[in-house]
Amino acid sequence: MSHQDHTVPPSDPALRIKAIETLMVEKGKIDPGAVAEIVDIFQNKLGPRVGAKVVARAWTDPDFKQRLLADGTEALKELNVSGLQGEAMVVLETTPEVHNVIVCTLCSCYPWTVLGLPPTWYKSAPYRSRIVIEPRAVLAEFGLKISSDCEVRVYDSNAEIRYMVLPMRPDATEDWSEERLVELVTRDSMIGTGIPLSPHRS
Amino acid sequence: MHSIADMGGMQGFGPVVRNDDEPLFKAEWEETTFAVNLLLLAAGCFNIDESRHSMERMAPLEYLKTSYFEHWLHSLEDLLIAKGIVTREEYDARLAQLAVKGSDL
Repeated sequence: MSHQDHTVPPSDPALRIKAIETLMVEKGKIDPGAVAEIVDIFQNKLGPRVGAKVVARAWTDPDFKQRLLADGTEALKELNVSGLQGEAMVVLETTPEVHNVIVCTLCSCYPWTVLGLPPTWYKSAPYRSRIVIEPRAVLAEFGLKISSDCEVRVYDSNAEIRYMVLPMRPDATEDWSEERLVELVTRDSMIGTGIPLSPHRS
Repeated sequence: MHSIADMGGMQGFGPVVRNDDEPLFKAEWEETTFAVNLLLLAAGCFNIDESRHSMERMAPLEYLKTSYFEHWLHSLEDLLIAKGIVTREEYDARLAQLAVKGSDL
């Protein structure tokens, strides 16, 4: 993060968190340097690429898919993904009959370990308030039209249980490798506000 | 208690505004707030339920007027002072001190 102008007084939140950070370092609650490490992990190491690998593996390995749907927390350990705060992961399979979408109406719970940090809209009042009462209308705003004979299920995340959507594998990818399939899996397709990319586009 | 944070089903917030080019954090203080919160959780200063409960107790108007990471900042101040990990006096003194040399931040 760059400082464009050092002469500008810090905004109020900048001052407040600096005060907390310095006091906590002095009291030995935080190691100096740990803040930068955490930021690096979330900015550079975690993100939807991790989830995309999980999805592509599930598409190509039926036994893994079965384990993933039966116990997401355990199956993810096979791909070296484990909870940050001991939260359980539940993977929701989207099918032609059921479309799944996730939210955290109270705040921002999100499957960090597979998707990284949530986008701002996921944490915003419009998404949190509306996806549970008019999911089809909200999904249409994302450009996703769910046919009326497909049920839409909205899962409200919490501190103990994080959900992730296993989207449907795109048609015409039968002979695709796991590595190639990864490229089709978008963040939004694992939230449920999108679907994977079409193979014809990539 | 009905909290303003309990937004599921509320009406009137308008369309979902998306910007897929946004950075993960919009300012350095957001990064720091995020990391400090995680580190203090790990250090056992408070737990995740206390953290959420603190945000859920925010005054509705303040909750709506402030950004996501300001909610986190509010809960940090609230919990650290309530638990006596930092005193209000200590915190205010540090704020005043930092404000004077603000350009170093």
